Amino acid sequence: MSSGLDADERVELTAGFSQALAREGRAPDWLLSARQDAFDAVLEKGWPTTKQEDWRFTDVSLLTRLELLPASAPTAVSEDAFDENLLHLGRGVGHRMVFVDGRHQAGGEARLPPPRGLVMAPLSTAIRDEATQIGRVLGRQLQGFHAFAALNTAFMTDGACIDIPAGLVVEAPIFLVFLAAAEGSTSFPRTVVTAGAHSQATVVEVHLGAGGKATLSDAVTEILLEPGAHLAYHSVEKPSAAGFHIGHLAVTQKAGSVFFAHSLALEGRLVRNDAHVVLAEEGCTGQLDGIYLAAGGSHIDNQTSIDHRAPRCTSRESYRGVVSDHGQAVWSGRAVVRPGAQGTDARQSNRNLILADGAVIHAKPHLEIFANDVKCSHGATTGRLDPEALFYLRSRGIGEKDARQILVAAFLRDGLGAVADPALRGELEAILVSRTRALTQEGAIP
Amino acid sequence: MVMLSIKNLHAEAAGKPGKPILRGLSLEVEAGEVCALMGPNGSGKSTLAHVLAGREGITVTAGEILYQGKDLQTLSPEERAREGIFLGFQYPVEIPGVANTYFLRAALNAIRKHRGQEELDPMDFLALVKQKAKSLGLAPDLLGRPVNEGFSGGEKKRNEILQMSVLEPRLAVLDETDSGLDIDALREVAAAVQALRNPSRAIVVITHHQRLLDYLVPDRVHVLAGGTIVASGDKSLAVELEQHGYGRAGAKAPLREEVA
Repeated sequence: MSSGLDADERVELTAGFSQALAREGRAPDWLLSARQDAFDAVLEKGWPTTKQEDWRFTDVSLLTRLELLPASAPTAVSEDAFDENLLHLGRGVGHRMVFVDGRHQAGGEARLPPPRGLVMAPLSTAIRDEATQIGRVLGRQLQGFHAFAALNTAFMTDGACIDIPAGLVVEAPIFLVFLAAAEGSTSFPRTVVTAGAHSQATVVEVHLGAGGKATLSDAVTEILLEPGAHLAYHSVEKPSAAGFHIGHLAVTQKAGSVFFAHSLALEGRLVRNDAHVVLAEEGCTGQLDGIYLAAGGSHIDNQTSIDHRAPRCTSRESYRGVVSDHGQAVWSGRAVVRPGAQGTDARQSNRNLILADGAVIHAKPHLEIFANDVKCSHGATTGRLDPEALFYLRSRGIGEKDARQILVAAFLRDGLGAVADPALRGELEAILVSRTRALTQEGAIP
Repeated sequence: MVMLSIKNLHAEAAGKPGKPILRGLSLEVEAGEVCALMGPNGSGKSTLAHVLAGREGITVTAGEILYQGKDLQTLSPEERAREGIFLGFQYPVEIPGVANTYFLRAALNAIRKHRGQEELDPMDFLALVKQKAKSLGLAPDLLGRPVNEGFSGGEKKRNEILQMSVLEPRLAVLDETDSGLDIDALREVAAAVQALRNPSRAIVVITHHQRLLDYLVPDRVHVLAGGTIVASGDKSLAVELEQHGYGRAGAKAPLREEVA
């Protein structure tokens, strides 16, 4: 109905799409038709507007003024432009792939030899390789998503294809580092993960923008868990204060599989994450956790949904965040229990700390229940730092600023409680603490 | 040496003007002294403790507080702590997500920095804290847990005394440290405080009951009622109060009106 696209935008996008197809050269038919369908969907849907319920508090008109086409050539990149802790996350301890402005950077990174059978391939190669299962997964779960997800399918240049064979246990986390470097550029990272039956693995995506650069990363991650698979999936988003990130996570779980997702959004002119999990078969556990730190002028919007389509599944959604200065955060958690999904156990929680008067949080937990034998609960709280705790710390000699910083970091760190890998949890804790400290020093956290 | 000198102190809760809680309280505490502050509920004991620690929400409307000769009221809570004042909380606060040792090391280092001493490195600090915790009968796993979270009443109070023994204050104000303790815990906590007694340190013990004072024998006992000191004496005053109640010491409720 409401197409946010004007005639000029249509012409520009259509020309860009033809160019992108021409640049890609030979591609399998299934991919070409997937791209065409997605592009048609973009033209049909147009950009979301604040009149739509899911976008009420997030205005994308700023970012749709950027060039929403893939960069034609990769840029030279200096490591100095990026947050050091995040850039090096997992270096030396995990399997890693690095992408710059949407393209894989071959070599140049120390990485552990992947265990036998594990496929970690750049998407640009995988989509031409008939042996991978990628055509079985790619694009299959994105119906109903908004135009930016479709835009990724139309324009994606590269990404990661992770194929974990049945029964394989991958001990070290797999790190996928996506760097957005060139001013005004848009990149379209795409990750496709197939977790084979009874396999176990941890995947960590890091989306990082160069300091001060207005970049847009329009990312899509699709995950399929076969029966009994265990997968932990982390994403960390930190575009620059001027940068944008729009992420889509689509997950389908088969019988008895266990999925844990954790999102850590640290900064951005606009960060929007949609996470959608389908519990398709009996006995699954799906958990979506997240932490956001919307200080300075950051705007961070998380929309989560878990769809119980089968009996006896368990789901948890647990997000927490801090808003300060002129920061804004939006959280919407949705759990749907379909007819027949008896024995569902679904819980949601959202906790917020408001640290300054100009900061805003919009929280909306909601449940849609169409079965009768279910256990469901939800809750959202928003508050300020506990004055008793603050006084207690100060009464022991700790300065007010330090005391506030300690309490804020502690509140946020509590949101890492469900992270199973202790080394990874330690690294994420250190990132949170250093980010909190930096924001305190800048005065964005009072 | 006079550690603490309070003269004609008047204080009220912020937002409740005209209803003073402390009404002309005067008190002197010498270095090396253990002084017990007793009195019925609502007499102003805890308010006095909080005024000394610098809690917001209580307004001093008249009078002066000199600590080691310096005006205390110009100092923030953290400055007071760095200058050597310690408040043992009646209700120690639970702080989820902050490990006990992390908190205590941050506190000790803030105080050491103020004294011009070097920060203690984590290993040395841990050795110090473990040794102190052991002597207090505090289970070692409580050190790594979040501050006071899930601690029993007795563990919380021991944790307060652990902090006191690590931070080594000049003036410690222990606000009902004995409440919520069973008889064995009371004896151990009292012994721990007794061990911290020294000639350069003053300890003000706020309590309802005489029992604590059997183990921690005070040099002076003051009775607070209606926001002022109504009786002072040596340890025998505490015994007398236990036998005859606060009424005998002139601390019955009607006295409040008299004072006002």
